[in-house]
Amino acid sequence: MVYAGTVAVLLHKVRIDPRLPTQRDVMWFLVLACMGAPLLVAAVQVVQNNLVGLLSWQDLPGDVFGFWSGSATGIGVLAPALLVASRRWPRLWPGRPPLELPTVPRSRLAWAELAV
Amino acid sequence: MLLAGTVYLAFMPLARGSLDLASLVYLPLLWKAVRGGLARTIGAVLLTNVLAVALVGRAAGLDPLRLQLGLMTMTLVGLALGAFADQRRADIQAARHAAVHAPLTGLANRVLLMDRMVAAVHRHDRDPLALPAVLYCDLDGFKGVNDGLGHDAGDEVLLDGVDVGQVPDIADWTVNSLRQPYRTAGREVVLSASIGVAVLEPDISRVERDAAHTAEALLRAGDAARHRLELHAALRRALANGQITLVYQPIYALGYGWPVAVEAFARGRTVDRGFSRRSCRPARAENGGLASRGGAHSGTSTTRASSLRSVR
Repeated sequence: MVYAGTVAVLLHKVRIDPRLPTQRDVMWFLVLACMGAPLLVAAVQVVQNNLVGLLSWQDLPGDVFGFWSGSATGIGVLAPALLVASRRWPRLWPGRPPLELPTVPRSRLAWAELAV
Repeated sequence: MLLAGTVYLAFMPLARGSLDLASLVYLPLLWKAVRGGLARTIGAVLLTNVLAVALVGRAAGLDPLRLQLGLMTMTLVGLALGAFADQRRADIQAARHAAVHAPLTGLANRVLLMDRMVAAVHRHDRDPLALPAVLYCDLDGFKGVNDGLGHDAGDEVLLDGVDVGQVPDIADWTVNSLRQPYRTAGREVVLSASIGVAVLEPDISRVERDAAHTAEALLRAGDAARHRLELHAALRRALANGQITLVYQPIYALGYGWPVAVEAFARGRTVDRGFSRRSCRPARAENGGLASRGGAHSGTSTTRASSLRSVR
């Protein structure tokens, strides 16, 4: 639920490009998907485990940091790799423009280079 | 290899519970980010995490929280560095492109043109047989499109003209291609092109002056072939449908009391697009390149006008 909500916020509120082409996209992804959502999930998990007696309340901060760092590292290592790799298959992102920079086709350059 | 070696140096002491050299891993990560951008940084981050976990294993006396926080920090910082390097590279490339190209058409602007002209002159210095020349193309009547149909339609026509100009062919082909009618803003627009040709003088200090000569040659070519856009399409259609008739208006000299000249008008009967209620002199049709087609229509009348003109 938390991760799905984070994805919805990133795509529909922040409106990042999931292929992470710009610095803005990556930073929002890192802040919300890699840091914010895992922290919330880790807190809920640790509190839940404390409530059922699996963890002690005295170790709450350390446990939360442990859960959080593990989840954040996993997401930070795998999710960007998959998202960037998906650039090779444009059919995965219908309706999104190609990622190439606005360069001039060689034919137009040839027209401009007639003088040379 | 550099990354693997650094990770080995950074994380092997962890088996003894030390994190003193862990920050070494940022060096190859920074190198990867600057050189390869986000994609290569992601690979480096993935490899670093795998190697670190494999090296550390279940080392005794190691605080796992410190290791996890260190790897997480390294991962996030590495991704941010890669994104920063990618964005900076893209900004520089976009700025370079925008500096030497027109934003609408993507064609080279005057800065790039002058740079290529200087390069052409240098090439001519090395090889005297490589005499450079410039074809300077201007769309006749384009101002009429902008004023009459709006700048959006003008931009559309301009982009179509650029597509025609993509083929690096000779000037005649370009002119004939541009004469094909365009459909824009619900109307038919006929353009033509004037092309001035100038041969560069092999003197770098005179490149700017050569550009002025080229523009001057363009203007001369344009004056000879410039078309009146607002009537061109309508005149072609009216001529094809026989909707133009010639009428004459005698000009009397008050002092003599008889006609001294006759003014001829081409009048459209049912022509649309602003032409129906107006008449125009044949000179306009001639200016629009329609004189040859109108000539068959008005040949005898012209003769009569000449004879009347000779009455005086």
